[in-house]
Amino acid sequence: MEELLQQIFIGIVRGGVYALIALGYTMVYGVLRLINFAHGDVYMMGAFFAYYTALKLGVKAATLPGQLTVMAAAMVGCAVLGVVIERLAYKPVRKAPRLTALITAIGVSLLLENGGQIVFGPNTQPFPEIVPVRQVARLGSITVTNQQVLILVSCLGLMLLLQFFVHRTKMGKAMRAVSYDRDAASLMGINTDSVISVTFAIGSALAGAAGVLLAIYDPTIDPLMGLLPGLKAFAAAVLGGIGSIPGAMFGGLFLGMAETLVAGSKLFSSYRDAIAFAVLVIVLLVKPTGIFGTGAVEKV
Amino acid sequence: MPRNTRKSSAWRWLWPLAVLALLWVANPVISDRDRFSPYLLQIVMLSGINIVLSVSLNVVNGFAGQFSLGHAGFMAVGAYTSAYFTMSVMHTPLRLMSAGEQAAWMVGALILSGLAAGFCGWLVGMPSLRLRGDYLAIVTLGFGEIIRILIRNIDQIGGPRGLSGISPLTSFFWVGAVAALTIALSRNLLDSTHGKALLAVREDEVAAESLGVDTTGYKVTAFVLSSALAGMAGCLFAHYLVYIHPDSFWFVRSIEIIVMVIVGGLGSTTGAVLGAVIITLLPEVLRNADVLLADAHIPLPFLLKDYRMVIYSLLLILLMLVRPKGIMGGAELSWKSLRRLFRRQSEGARA
Amino acid sequence: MSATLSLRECTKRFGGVVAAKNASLRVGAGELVGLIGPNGAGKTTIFNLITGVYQPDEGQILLDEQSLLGLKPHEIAGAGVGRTFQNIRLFKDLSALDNVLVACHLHSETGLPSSLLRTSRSLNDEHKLKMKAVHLLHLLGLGKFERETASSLPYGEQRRLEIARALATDPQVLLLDEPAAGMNPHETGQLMDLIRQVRRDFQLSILLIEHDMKVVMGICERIYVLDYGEVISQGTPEVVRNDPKVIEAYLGEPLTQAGEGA
Repeated sequence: MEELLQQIFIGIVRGGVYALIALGYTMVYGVLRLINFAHGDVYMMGAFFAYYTALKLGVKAATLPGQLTVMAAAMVGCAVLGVVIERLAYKPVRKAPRLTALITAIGVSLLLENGGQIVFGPNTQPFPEIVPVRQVARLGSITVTNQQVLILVSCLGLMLLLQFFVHRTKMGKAMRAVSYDRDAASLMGINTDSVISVTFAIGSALAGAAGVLLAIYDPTIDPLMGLLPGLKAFAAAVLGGIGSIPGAMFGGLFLGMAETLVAGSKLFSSYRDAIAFAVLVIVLLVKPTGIFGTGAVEKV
Repeated sequence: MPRNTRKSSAWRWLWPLAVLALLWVANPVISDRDRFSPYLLQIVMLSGINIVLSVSLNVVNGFAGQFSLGHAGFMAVGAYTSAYFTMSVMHTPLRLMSAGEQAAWMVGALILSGLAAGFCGWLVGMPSLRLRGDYLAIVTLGFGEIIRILIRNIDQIGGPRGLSGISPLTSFFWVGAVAALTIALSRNLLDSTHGKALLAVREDEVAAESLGVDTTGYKVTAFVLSSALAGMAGCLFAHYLVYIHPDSFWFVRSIEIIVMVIVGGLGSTTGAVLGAVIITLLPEVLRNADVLLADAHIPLPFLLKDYRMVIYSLLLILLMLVRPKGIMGGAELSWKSLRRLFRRQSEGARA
Repeated sequence: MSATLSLRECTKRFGGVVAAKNASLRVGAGELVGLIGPNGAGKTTIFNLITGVYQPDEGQILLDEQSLLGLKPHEIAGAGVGRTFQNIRLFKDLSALDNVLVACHLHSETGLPSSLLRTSRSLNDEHKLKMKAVHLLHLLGLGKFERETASSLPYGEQRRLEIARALATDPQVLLLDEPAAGMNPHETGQLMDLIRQVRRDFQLSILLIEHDMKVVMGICERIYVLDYGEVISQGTPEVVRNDPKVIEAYLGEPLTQAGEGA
């Protein structure tokens, strides 16, 4: 039982990071109906932006200003990267068949992975210890480390910020309008191009943050590290109902927990990477549009 | 009035026989290490296997319009089933067998792999094909991954170590024959009213149902057919490389196959063939580009070989920007279309 | 062969909206019946109930003696109910001929395996179906568009192609959803002739939704009037035209003008 609670806690921490990545998938899907396959690699890039910033800062990286600089570098770097990718690779194919954009996204993903292997080197590298791990609390039998607290607080803070942005600001309203009907939104005078850019910037910044957080927690990084978390985060977004922001948060947390629980069990631990998909398959077969998704009713 | 489509039946049966005979004659020549470079042979073999994969995936993604991303999973089922079959049942070493015996084993392995993968396709397709678009994509991708991880966990077939010591049954002849079969099936399907019904499912499911098309049935049938062919590709793959590993079939491979289909032009069999060949060749061409450039005395400050995957991905993006509908753009290459093109050009020349 | 189609007290609710309320109507064998009503009265819902796109919450739908309840749309098409759509739903990227061939596949005698192998039986069968499709195209005056993609056809021809396609399923009952929508008076006139001709040649029962009152009054033997999902009036064109309830439903406008305004 204690073991179980500890696992659930770890699952929530991991799930929070998945949720951050899933948000980027779901937001981009919302406005463009595009599965941004390169999103997992943007997350990887976030970890590397942080890595080089931390190296540059040296010992100062472990201080609070240093930590904030590292985080800011990753988020800004990814935001810029996201906008550039959208402008150069996705915008030209926006009117093409949807699968074309998907292949372009796959191309961008391959480019980041292979380019990363050349620029950063193909090997796994240790991430600098910018937040030294230390136990901060024991809740009954659950040990809580400062890193876990950091991840939870950051994820929660970023998600609240996002909710505020989407629901309380003019740009957020425009974003919702575009995701509801792009053509109508543009007829209402909304500059859809800038809305799409902002969406990519925010989604990518969140992925960058996720990259830093997971790199602090699991301190090894490599150019292919985005593949599996990217795929799982995408599964999380679909599980929650792609296009739905609360859905992505829920899906991320749910998958994180399911995965940690399975990995912790003796019998099924080798099925860890399958569990995300098994859950996804089961949920979608019961509710074909995801948990928070609303199916578009086709008019006959 | 339509042209008379009924060619004499002898002619219809002559075609496939001619293709098989050609493959049979070419087989010893191409497989001869002295006359044909083994490296080239490997590229040819992998192209052939990829043709089977992309043409079969095109049946589901291009014709039926169902976005499936789990092709590698079915390939894995075919590869493992047939490899396990030949390893456990076939005891005579290959060199002691007559050509006929080898052929019999190969046909058996192919049929078995097709049945097994087709059955898995049915199991996966029945529930998932009511999902649409991206939901179907991620579920099929998920099933592909589940299959791979299941295989990792079955110790009898090597688990995470992979399966080695498979008999090298696959020859150029068999790759060619299965590729030809796949192309023929795909074309015959499209030429029939059943194929038109499949296209109708892609275009508008509600309208198709109103005309009596069992849309679910057609989707599942297309999916099963496509999975079975992917399984046969897996069989060829396993008995060619003689070693298979679960990770040879992870989702990146499924994505590679869909890239072939879309690069060639979704919905076009010719396109799928072209796409398979291009995507197989491109990295190899880039690998050898340095030698060619050096021969041509074009100096480069770096080795292209090192950047080949970067160039590959850039080319992929560029191609999509330049030709968003793929190389063939959904059109087919046939004698008819060639003749039409020729006629148009000669008319243009006259004018 | 024509058949009788009857709806008995069918009700369909979408959340709080009652799209069909105890609707009963009957199309006798060989009859040509009109279904009219203001926008949003539930006419298309009735079609969707008949063709199995929706299942009614209550009520019964019969084709001759056979219940259509619980059947999938393609099974209902197979049972002999053909339809067209209000917003044309052709297979846009397919040729006119292929659009009709899709519908012919119901009567294909060879299965998929023999088509895949191109057996001579399947080729014969394909040939027969193709002849039938070509024949239908010519009958509806679409012969010269055989090879054109459906989306490139002029609007009126697209409507006719939809009818050709529905006829290719060999229906006993044909449901036409606003076939004259968007047509000019000349085209409308041709369409009326076509509907009459089709009914005669194919021995069909026809249920017709139409806003153009000239068409409805001109060719229908009986008319049902729907308002808020309920049948508020029925009878010959003459009876319906003078029914005060109908006039009220159309906001007091005389029917002919209501038709032209639609």
